[in-house]
Amino acid sequence: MKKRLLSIALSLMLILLTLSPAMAIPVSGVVAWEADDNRYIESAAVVGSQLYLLDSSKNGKITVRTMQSNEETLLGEVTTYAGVIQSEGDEMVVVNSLFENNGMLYGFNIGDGTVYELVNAQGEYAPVMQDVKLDVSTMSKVQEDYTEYLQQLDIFQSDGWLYYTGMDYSQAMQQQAAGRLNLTTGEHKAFEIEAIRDIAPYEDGKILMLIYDESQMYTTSASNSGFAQLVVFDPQSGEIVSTTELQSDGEMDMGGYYTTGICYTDGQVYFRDSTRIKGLDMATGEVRLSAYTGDTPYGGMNMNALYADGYYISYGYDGITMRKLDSENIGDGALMIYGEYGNEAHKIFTRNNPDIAVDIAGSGGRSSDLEMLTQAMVSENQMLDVLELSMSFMPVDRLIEKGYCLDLTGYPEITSRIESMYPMFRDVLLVDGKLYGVPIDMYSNTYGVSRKLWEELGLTEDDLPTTVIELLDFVANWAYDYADEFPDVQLFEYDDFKNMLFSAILKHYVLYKDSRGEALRFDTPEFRQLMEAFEQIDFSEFSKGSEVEETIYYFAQDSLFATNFSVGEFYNNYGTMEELSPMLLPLFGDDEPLIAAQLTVMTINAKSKRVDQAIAYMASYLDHLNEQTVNITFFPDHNEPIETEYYQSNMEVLTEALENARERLETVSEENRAFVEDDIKMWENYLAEEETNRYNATAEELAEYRADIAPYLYVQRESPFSSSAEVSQLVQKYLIGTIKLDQLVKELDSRLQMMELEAQ
Amino acid sequence: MFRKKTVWLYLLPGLIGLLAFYLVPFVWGIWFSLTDGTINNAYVGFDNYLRVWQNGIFQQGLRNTLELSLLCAPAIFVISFVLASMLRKRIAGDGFFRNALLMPYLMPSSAMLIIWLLMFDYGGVINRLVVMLGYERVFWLEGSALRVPIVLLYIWKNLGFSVVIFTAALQAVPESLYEYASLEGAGYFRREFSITLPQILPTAFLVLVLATVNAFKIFKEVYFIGGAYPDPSIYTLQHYMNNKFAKLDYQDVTTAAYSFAVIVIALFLMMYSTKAVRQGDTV
Repeated sequence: MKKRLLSIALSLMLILLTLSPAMAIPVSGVVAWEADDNRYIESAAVVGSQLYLLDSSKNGKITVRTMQSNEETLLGEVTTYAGVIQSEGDEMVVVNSLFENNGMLYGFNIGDGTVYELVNAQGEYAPVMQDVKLDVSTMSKVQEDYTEYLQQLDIFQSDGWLYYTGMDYSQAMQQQAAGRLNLTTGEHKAFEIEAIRDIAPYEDGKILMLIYDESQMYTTSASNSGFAQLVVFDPQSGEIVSTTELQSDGEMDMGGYYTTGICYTDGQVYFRDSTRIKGLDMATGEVRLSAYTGDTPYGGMNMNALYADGYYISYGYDGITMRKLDSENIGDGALMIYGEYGNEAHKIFTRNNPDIAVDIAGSGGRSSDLEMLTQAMVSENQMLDVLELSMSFMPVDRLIEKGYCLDLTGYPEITSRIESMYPMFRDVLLVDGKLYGVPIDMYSNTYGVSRKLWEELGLTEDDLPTTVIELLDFVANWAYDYADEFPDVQLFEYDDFKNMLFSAILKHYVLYKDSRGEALRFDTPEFRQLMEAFEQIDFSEFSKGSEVEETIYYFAQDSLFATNFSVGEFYNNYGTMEELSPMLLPLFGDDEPLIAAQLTVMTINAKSKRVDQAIAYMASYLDHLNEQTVNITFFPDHNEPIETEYYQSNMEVLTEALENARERLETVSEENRAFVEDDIKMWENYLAEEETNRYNATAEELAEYRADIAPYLYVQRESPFSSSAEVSQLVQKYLIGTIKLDQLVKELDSRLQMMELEAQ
Repeated sequence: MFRKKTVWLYLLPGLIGLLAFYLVPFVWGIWFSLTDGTINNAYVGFDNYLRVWQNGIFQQGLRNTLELSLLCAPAIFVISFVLASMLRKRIAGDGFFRNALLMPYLMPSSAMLIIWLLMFDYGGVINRLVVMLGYERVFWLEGSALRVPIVLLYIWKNLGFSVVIFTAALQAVPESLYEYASLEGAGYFRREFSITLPQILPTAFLVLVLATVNAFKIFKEVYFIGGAYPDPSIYTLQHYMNNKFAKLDYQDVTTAAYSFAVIVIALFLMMYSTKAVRQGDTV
């Protein structure tokens, strides 16, 4: 009987253990938050249950909201620019920071030390300037023609003092400044403690300081740079009461570099550690995970933090986010995204799905962190749910082959979104008719030429090189044919272009072999023909860097050719590099031109326990791909010209200015008429310039892309040259002349054979 | 009966640890090597073993590993025995010499590599010596010549550890045996072969085992110099396993590891089964 009971109990335990991962899928209410990148929240303060925001992106608007509602009420408008010069009798309220004092909202101007009470007892905006003027003389530095103020100012009031930290950009190397100002006398006292990264109010008039010396990042290796210290500081005695090391478990192994944003409430200190918010119990010293930010590790670097009503609020240049702290479901984990670097499409998902906890791993590792990826794929604990990987540098094909990528064929919300995509991008992720991922980004480049400079050389369109071999011949003969007559013409974008040119040829050759379905080998007549042409070039003729001790890479925007001319990205470059245009070249003439497309794809881990969330994430991501750099490139039906972001608003401002000037012309005196006419011409020129630069992508550029670029794009898959250090070393040895071509070819082929043998 | 239970109770924590961290992973690894390595881990029998054993580059790695081991392990054994014999007698500064020999063992290979690379560079000290001796310079850091600095680096690094073990064993041999043998007219070699070797045979076997096992693991030095795909002549089994891991062929990694383990265990069983060692075990 006992045995039977025991076996039943064990079976139940087994069932529970098996089901527990499925039960761990989070339910709603994990985290509530809001983010808006288009806002610049210059300052924020909590008064009671009200959160006041000073929004500089809206011309200095003070708004108020609570944590319970997303509704934000406009209270009033202020000027936030500290350097504004006020004339006598001017009623302008200049405020760049908010703080709470005795249950009331106050504002502070770092420009002249003025303090305002901003809201009256009825909660209405009613600014009243206070008698005190704070000594702000050390909070700014007068430069030649402007004044530099402390940036990212974070202030709070405690015991009649206004405490502040801010970034001092006036030094050669930026540094954090911190101190306090007496709200009665205006007296200023700087803190003598160095490397204060952030401060927050604590108990009994004491304050918390986050100490981390960023300069050590430049003098020691990242992993040795140490953790940040949390210090309880007594401003009365000027002594440190206690110090706690805030250990970081951020996967980027950067010590305390990504430890930021402290705030305090009821014995708990909250701080941001890389992508997560941690809670530290000051009584026990225990640190726990309190919330996921859904942001990149570096997303918190320029943000200030605040605690309000159970939420961690961070605000700054990147808008505002609010995360519910210590939610019941925090232990259930989060949807883990690998390789995300804070793209707008990602932010839109987290903004629109406040109930889904999201975390980022391997930020920036789309094309490099193979070790982390391989370990994560066999781990059940560090589950990566969504993977963003470069097809050119990561083993995406292997992941698919091994079954680690979820078959997306049965998800119409995904397949429908990529139906109209160019087949050459979509099909790289189709295996036996099943879809295992979706392209989300692309980078491609090819050779470029300045047709204007070409004509200046007395050459015509027909004289342009038609193959890479011809291009190399032209370069080899440059010294004899043109160098004396055109000494100022720079041939390539980099003065020392040997490496760049070789890399471009090598990449092109690898694509050439791949496109023909041939095994990659270098002991071939084609590669030797290319190298023969390459070795004809006397590179010492070109290098200006050789005249000085160290090689200097000059980047010229007005070179005759380019080895890395980006295509498929539509930015208005406002005149720079506009002389260059793509030059599509086959290698030899019997082949088609090829443009390497380095594709980033998104896949879902087939082992993910959050498939529904991952699918929702992918679908949302596809809906919000960048129009200029991705949608046009991927989808042939995206042909609407794209205006620059500020075209409409700039036109409104300029048109209004022009109309004002014209109105003034009607009433202006004769002696000032010429000035106003100059003004009118100036505004007309600005308007014309704005019109010229109206589009990021014009209809003509889009048509050109469709006709001349897209047909030649070829997805560059992972190859031995993607990340092999020894191949790079071999190539370097060849380029500096340590080994000859024969040895290079032999060594490269030998390694390729080893790789192939391994794969068998 | 009670004492027997108590003993088991005392042993339990250790046994649980052994089971959890050694036996289970070991058996699990064997099972993993019998799967197809996809997310489904489908059973494929001995297919992986057959495929890996037939793989030319695996054979090359295995061959190179065994060759490097056969060069390094005996060299370490002999040199360390000779050095230990020299240090056996208590002389002034013997502690310094022992410590000096142990120093390379304590230093990270990566830190010392640059010195070795400079020494064996085409224009380095070694080539200057070679030229002084009237020979042509050698590209020590390329091709099969790279084996020379790798073997030397390995011996230099691991010698001290074996010397320390040998010295401890040698100092435990009673001096009276040597005195008696000397009185009987035994010479140096006779004393070493008839007294020293039989007395320290278990230790010598341990040194040989450790030297061989460590030699099988020659990788760091080769990897630092040649990367993941070095010249075929120095491609080791560890390269194969590392590269397979990077390509997500996890089942091939375990297959290669177990294949190699079987070979190593077989070699040691053969060695251990020799009468002399077993007899020495009871000394």
